[in-house]
Amino acid sequence: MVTLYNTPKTVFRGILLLLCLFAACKKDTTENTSILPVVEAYLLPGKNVEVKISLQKGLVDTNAYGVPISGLALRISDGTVTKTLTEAKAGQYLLKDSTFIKSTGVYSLQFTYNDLPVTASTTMPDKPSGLTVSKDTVIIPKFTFGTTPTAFIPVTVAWTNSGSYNHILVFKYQETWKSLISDRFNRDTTTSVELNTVQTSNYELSMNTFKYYGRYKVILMRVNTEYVEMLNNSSTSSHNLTNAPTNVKNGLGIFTAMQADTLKYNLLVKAE
Amino acid sequence: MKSILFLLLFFNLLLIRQASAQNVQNDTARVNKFITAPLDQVLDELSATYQIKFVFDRSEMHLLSVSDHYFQEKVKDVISQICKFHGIYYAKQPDGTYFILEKPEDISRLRRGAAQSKSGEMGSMTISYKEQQEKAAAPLKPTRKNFSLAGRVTDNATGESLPAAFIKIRGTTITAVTNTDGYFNLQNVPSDTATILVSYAGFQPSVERLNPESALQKLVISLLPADNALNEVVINGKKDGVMNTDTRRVSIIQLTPSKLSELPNIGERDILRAFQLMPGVSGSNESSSGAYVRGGTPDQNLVLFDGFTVYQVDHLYGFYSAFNVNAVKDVQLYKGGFSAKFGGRLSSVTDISGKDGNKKTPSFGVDLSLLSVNIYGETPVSDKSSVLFSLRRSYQGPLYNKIFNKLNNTTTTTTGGGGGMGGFGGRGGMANNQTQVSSWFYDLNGKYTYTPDDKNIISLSFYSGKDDLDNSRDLGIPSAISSTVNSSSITDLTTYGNVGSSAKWSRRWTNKLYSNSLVSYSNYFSNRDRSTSSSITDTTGTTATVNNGTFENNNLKDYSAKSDWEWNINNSGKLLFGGFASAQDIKYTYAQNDTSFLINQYNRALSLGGYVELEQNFGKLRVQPGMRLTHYDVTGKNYIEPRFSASYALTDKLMLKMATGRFYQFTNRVIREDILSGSKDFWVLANGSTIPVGSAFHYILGTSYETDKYLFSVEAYYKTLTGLTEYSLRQTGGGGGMMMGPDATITLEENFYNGKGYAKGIEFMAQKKVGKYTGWIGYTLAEAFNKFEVYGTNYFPASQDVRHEFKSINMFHEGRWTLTATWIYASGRPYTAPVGSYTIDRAGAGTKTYFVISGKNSERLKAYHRLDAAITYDLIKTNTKKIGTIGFSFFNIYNRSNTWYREYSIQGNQVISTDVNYLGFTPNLTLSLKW
Repeated sequence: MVTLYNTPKTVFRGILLLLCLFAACKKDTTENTSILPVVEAYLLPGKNVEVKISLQKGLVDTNAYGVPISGLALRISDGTVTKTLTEAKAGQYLLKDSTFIKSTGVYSLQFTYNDLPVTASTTMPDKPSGLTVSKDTVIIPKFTFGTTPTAFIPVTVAWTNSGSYNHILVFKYQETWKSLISDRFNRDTTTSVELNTVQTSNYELSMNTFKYYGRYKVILMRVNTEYVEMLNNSSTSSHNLTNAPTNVKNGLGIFTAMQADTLKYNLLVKAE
Repeated sequence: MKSILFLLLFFNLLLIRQASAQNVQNDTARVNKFITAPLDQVLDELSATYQIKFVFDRSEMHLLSVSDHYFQEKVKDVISQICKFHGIYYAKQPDGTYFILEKPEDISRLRRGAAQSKSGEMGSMTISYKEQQEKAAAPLKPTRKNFSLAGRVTDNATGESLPAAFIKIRGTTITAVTNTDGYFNLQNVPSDTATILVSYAGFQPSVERLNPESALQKLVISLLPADNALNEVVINGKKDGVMNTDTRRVSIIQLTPSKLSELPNIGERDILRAFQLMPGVSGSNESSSGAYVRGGTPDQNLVLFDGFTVYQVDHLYGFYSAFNVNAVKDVQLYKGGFSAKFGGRLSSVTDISGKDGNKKTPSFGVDLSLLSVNIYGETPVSDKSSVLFSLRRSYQGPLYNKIFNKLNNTTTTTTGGGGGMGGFGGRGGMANNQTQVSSWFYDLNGKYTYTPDDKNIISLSFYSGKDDLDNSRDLGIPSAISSTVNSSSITDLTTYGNVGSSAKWSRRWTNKLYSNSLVSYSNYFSNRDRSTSSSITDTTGTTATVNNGTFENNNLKDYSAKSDWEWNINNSGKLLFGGFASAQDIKYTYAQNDTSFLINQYNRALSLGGYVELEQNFGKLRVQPGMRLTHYDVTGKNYIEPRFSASYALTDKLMLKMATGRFYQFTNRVIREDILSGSKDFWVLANGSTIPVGSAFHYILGTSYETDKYLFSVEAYYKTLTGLTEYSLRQTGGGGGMMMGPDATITLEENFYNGKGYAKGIEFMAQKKVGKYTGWIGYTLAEAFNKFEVYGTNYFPASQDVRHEFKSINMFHEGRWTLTATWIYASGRPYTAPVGSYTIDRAGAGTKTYFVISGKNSERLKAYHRLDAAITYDLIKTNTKKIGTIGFSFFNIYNRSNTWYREYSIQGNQVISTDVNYLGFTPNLTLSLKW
């Protein structure tokens, strides 16, 4: 019976011991991404270098863009030559030298923000070629109830892509006066269109591709995977929320090179 | 209390001796006299005059008096009249013994007192005893000592064997647990006059006294189903049984479905949900019937049904478990540190035994709830075989719709995995125009059991369960819009489920050697068809059907064979060993436009292995070392899993125990939370590179203190996990944020993130096991952390990490009523939240806004809590046989808005968060009938 009297004490001690063991746990720390600057730069051969640096936006911030970050010393290098960018306006840094970015090469960006070195690097992809359009006019059929509309004749944009490179197709709107096709589904007021064609070599335009009638300049851009990856991110639920991939170290956003092939004539989108 | 029991025992033994002395009992004799006396004296007199054996509580009966004149009335009528007059019960045994009871449940107490009075029909109460004539109740001289005793435990009403029943020799720490076929082997039995206690949740405990003769035979102990008025706990942790439980086993919870109806439910009695009421199993995941055991995820829990692995364990987005209660006999959940017999999962094992079917009489039943219809039947086919079937199908009642809509409304606004899915919101909008939504689930169980002799049992078991969630709609395009398109419809169909079957042969070779071999097949499938189908007539007049969209298909086939052996080496040791072989093949395709496959994977794996485990008793100490070896042909490696568990009985009430071991997992389930963008989940095989073989170490330490009425237990665990895999499937549409045309190009990118983790916790439980009020409180302090390189270099809280969890389960029985209330509190689960956003101009046109995430799972949802209650009323026919129950269940009574997850959207450049909540107050009505 003596043991019985002692046992609760033993149990108690045991529990205490277990609790102590439990208490010896690690603390979790998470990396602070909220202080990182946002970088945006698209390098095109034969163009000036333009890099935008801004702050992140607060959750309830109603501004379209984050506050520009001024007073940084940005440097860009092609591996041999390093040049310093000048701040043209707040947060917008320029290198007024259209010969610096060539059609090949690896370019890197470097600056310091919040005592952290921010770096990014990108490789100029090859120039795409062979851009053709099956028709130079996209005819949008008329929709009127009670009549049978003519079938939409699809227009295909094609290019050479034996190497399965990533491309985006850009249709730059050339009109001064906008002419809306349909007010249905028109939440986006952007007139130009960017399509992610990924690794294919053609893209079939549909009736819904364009929002506005008029002339478009057709540009095919060969892009790097960092750009495609960034485009693809769009998680919205707390289950699967992740930071968008970025090629900027100690920063957010994108610093990427691309080359374009432009169609010699404009594509016309018109009503039937 | 003890002294009263002894007194009773003594008194009743006297009665029995008296009765056995004179075996002629005649209750049809006529009584012709005036009686006026206290009832106890009346019974004494009747007993003496007519040689009828009565068992009763003298103190209770003395308070009742009889005063009546009987004219030529039969004794049995006199007894009946007296009982009716006083509102008390009687139960006549085939041997003529009458039990006089104040309450029906007293039978168990009186029976325990009259330990050796056995056998027969409890008259109108139809409670029957094992038919075994007791020769004498007087103490016998033992003839043998320290021998081993084999036997079997069965359900007296149906003849079903009872797995995991607990057997104990009274006054000792010698215990045994029955195996899947109800066999047990007690070792080191001190003498052949010892008393054996047998207990099993949902059944009346039985006390068997051995005598030299019976100890030589094979013992068959059949238990009586607990009559409902009996106060009993529903879930019976192995360590916290009704009367006696095997406190020697570590981290095991056992559940008998028979009394599940008394627990509050959301439409269905649910075995996996019931486990969520126990400490160590998370109770705050309404959308998952799968078990989150000790910081593990549901796919780390092996679910076996009659020996085959079930991959799809739930219905309707996880709200209901896939197992029909009416087909289940016994469920055991191993929370960790489990035996070498089981393997292939990191966290836990749920071992479900299906019912064999009633071997004695045909019986049928039907359950109706606001969610489903459930019918079942079981019948003996011959004297050696029996069959069972059960079928459950949901119908679109209010409850089904509530859950279905909850999920659908919340997910239509969910943007899919990729940028190309930007148009999805538009689709969600379209979904509102749908004309018809039909979805349902069903499951079917069948089992045939053949027992050619007392040594062999052959059984065939079949299970099929399927969910069909159909959001399809006909677009009904007027011909005005298109001349060429004849018809167009959108198909949005998700089907998933599991089909499995097993053929099992058990044989008792000798009293010491037992084997259980089975071959099984299990098939998990998950199909997702989201497409538009158009019938188009081209200019030449040819009509063609064109399917555009995505077709996703995951199909897993598992062919397994295994053989488990049990050899009782000697009085104190038992050897478990066996071998297994399993071939799995997994097909996963993701197709677009009928023909083009974006992902077309076909993987197969073969695993072979064996295990050996010794269970050795050294008096108070029991050790169980084991070893499991698996050869996995994909990696070509051998995986050795040492296991060890031990228990030490400080006293007969206080037990210390521990377990440790290594565990491997070769198949992983990938869960996608954005339900509408694809099938909910699918299985992949470890390949040793992108998907490593998961591995875990468990360390468990526990103690329990158990008295006749209460049980207190504490268990602490620590687990380390490596080779964890997270999977993300990123879908890229052709639009890059544009509305995705039906023929837009889609590419898929599969990402596997690998990492490691740890989980630790301490579980406390206090349980009251008997009385009108029963229940338990449980508290768990736990944490589960992971480290994935992709999320950084630090440990972050795993999504299932819950710090504090408190559960209070209360049951009150009064006659035919049972009131139950459960309250669950769990601190909030972690989630990932944006701390900001940024917008950049795209290279070509437009802008894109991204969230800035502070850190993986760095935020916490608000605490989860809810109160559920249920009222159950037993329907009893006039002869007091229970024929069913009516239950009212109230889920989330105070309508707490518990957050499931948060949804973020950008409106006017601001980040707006919306809470997606779990179910609010949900009442339910269940009617259950059986014949």
